[in-house]
Amino acid sequence: MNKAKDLHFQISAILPVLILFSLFYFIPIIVLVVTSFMEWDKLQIGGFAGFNNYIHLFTDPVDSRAFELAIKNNLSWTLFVIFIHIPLALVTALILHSKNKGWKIFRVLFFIPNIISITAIAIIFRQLFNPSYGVMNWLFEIMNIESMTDVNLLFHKTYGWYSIIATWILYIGFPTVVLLAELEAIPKELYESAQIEGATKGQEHVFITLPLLKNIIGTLCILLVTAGFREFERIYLLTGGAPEYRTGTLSLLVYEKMTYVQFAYSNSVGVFLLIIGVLFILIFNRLFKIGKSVYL
Amino acid sequence: MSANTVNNFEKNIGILCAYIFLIIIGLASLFPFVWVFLSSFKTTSEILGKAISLPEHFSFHNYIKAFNTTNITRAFLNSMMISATSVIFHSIIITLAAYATARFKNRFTKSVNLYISLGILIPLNCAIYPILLIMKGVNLDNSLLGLIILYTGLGIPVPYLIMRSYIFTIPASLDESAKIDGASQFTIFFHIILPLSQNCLITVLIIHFIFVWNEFLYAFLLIRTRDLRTLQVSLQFFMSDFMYDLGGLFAAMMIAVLPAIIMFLFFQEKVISGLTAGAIKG
Repeated sequence: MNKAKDLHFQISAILPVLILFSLFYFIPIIVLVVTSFMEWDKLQIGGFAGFNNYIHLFTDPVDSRAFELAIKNNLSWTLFVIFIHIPLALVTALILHSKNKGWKIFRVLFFIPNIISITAIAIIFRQLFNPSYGVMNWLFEIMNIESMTDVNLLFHKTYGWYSIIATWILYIGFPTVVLLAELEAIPKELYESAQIEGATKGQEHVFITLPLLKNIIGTLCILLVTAGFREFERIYLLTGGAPEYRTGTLSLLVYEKMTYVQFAYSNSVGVFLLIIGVLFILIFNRLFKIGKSVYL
Repeated sequence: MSANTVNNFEKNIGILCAYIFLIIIGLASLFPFVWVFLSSFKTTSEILGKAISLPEHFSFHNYIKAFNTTNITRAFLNSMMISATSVIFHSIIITLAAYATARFKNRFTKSVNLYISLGILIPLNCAIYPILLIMKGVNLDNSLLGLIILYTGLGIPVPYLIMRSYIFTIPASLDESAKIDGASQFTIFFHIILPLSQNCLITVLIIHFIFVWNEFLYAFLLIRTRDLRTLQVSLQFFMSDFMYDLGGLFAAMMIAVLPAIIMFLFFQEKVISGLTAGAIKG
């Protein structure tokens, strides 16, 4: 009797989540993968197309360029996260950890941009980069750089992508606060015994702090890199992928193909996005051996 | 000089460098917002004239224009409505599921747990068109109810895991004693588990609220009626609303952004610990 009641409870408790999750995660992914192997460029789905959609992404003159640039940009974003964004956050966290005067204020100030919606940030930066009244233009005029005045950096052939990177690379609030919390959790005794043995601050950081932060840095890599793959509104509102796909990403490509009613291509790019996302999660998990304790 | 003063000197230089570093990053990251804030009090000709200057007269005329020209109040209310509603449903259903899979260990709950955990691997914007089709299929496109249901579903994986790991810290003995007293599972859930999970519930609440409030892609794709638009989606239309009226645009941006900042400043500790809990537990 009790077992039946328990089962009844379990099912009713889990059902809502199960239904919604299947509706918005499971089914869409199945549809995504299956239809990426079919013809679909009108409202009705066509027949089986094998790998044609994927081949198209690699061979069509226009689309393969867009695809290639998208992947390049996604990877570039990833590199910026790993080698600039997170290290900046680490340095900041270590500084704030020393709890010098005013550290709490800095912590709040750094976190504010992470609260503001990306949409708002994108629109604000779009104004900032405006060639007539924006701050960038004003900077170039003051520094007398003729070639850059009245130029919209976002649409610049070389610097466009980097201007987009600039809209988030310094917003280290979130990773800094996470690292700060982890730093707090490190027992002081470890540092004390190291100091007794005569370790310098540098050695303390390299041999005690960093190894203990290994897990959380790995987790941050996963979180921030996957967030990068999910980015849509920032780039859409800043440049829309222009000029000529130079600032495009996979996310934008999925959207664009959909607006062109090329649903099969949209879904194939989506599959790529999915694969790359999962791949990076697995890679970082391996690389940082997340989940394995640092203590032997 | 004694060893101590040399060391002190180095220490002080270190601290100075640290402060310089912090200030540079702080200024560089915050100045766009300060710029927009100050410019929102200027007249449009002032903005076009000199990018960096204090406004000649601090006037709120841009803000008045922003409220009158756009549907920002409507958009704000829409966002508030779907965020609050989704958050309520969301917290309840994921806590229920988290409780069920945490307390009962059998094949069913274990596979459900694995199933939902796999959700964290999936980027939210790879299956755009399939999700659109599903929403159209159940007639929920272009509706705020549709967005509420969609967001409640999309926000499941991470908060579910957070909640589940928290429930493990609630002793099962409490369940047992309640059962001995004749309580049903649902009673246990509502009268014991929910109250004890308050802290974690607030975390989950904050995470999901911020997710729904800031969401752009699906609100953009699904809603076609101007009056149903959420705040974030409306922001992009402000750019065309205010084609020749930059002051108005800046004021509108400030109106959109300030509530979030003010809420954050009030609930700092909770928000920060909430958002980082996701990272640390994950």
